[in-house]
Amino acid sequence: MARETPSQTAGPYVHIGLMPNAAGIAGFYGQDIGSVMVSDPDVVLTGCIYDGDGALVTDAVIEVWQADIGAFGRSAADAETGEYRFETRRAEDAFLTLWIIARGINIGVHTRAYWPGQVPDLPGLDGTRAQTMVMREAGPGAFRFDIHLQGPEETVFLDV
Amino acid sequence: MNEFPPRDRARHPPALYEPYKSTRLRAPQQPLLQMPTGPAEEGGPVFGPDLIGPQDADLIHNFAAEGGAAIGPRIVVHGRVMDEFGRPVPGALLEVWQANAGGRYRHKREGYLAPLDPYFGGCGRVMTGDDGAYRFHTIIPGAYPWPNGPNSWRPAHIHFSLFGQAFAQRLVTQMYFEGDPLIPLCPIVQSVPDADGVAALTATLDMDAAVPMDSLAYRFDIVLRGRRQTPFENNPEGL
Ligand SMILES: [Fe+2]
Repeated sequence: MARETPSQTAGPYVHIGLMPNAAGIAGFYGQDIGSVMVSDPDVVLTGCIYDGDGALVTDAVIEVWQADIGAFGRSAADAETGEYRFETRRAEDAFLTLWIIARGINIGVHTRAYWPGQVPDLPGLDGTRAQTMVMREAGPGAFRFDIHLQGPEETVFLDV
Repeated sequence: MNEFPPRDRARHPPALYEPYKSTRLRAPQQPLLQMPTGPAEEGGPVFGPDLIGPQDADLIHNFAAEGGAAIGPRIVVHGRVMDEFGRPVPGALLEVWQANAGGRYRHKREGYLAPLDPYFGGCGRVMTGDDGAYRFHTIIPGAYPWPNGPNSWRPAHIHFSLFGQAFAQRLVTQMYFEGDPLIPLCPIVQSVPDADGVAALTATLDMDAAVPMDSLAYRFDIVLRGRRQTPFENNPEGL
């Protein structure tokens, strides 16, 4: 078998390549890929990403994939608030797939955000850490999912 | 279920690589939870060829005013996207971004003193054909300093993002240029565990693909994770 090409960090300027319009390099693409997930959203998912010191990661790009409805989204952490944001639909699957890249992340980290009330049922998952993969309700149609890259609240990341 | 063999983690940089300081607070410390791929990873977003505009694969011109062109050594970058089983990956989306010839990115958080090139945006994209081949035009980016150590410089590089046909294949990486003396000095490159992996990230000069009196060419082949398809692949021991 050939071996996979090694990963490298996306670096701090990842927005140029993946969301040029949002990065202010407008003009030669239409809308950024993943900026509209579905035509009729009924939920909003927001969250922040934190490093091992509890500091906001404000340069990350986060992608979401919903296999059940074929919806793909891409959002940049806000440069000031660190918040990412997706507008989508809640469908059949118990979870959304998330993938995060940034400066200092050598290979993209993969996790899942389960809808409130769902219990991540994954072999080998430590019950005390399972809650790191569950969104919380933040209002009507609003959901929150914060991601901790390291530390006592570290999110469960998957090798899948 | 289980359509993709597990990712070969030994091929990739470890999450924590001390000489690359930004990894220290951003590397997960718990082991990754290993699990077989399922429907959520075995499909992925599909981007049809209509996505790609006529100038998307031409970074020399896609940000330039009419009749203008980016400054810098003109090159063609090309190669094939294959999977681990040696099959071409058609319809793969490659998104690329890079600094200009002076080593400056067009980004609001970028403060390097080298000037912007008014005719260079630094962003492009291309899709592979049925044979997995891709090709784009650009300029060789400059090396640039970065705040890792007191005098750290990145070798010239182009950032790549790839979508294959499954979310399990998602990959972001960087391409380097053959012969660059900064390659062995760079902790980001050296986070790759072995020399073979660094070689896989290093594009080679390809005179056969050069355009005489126009552009030199570099070849960069890419391997994505492979989906098992045959009984033999499902059962690598051959039992
Ligand atoms: Fe870079």
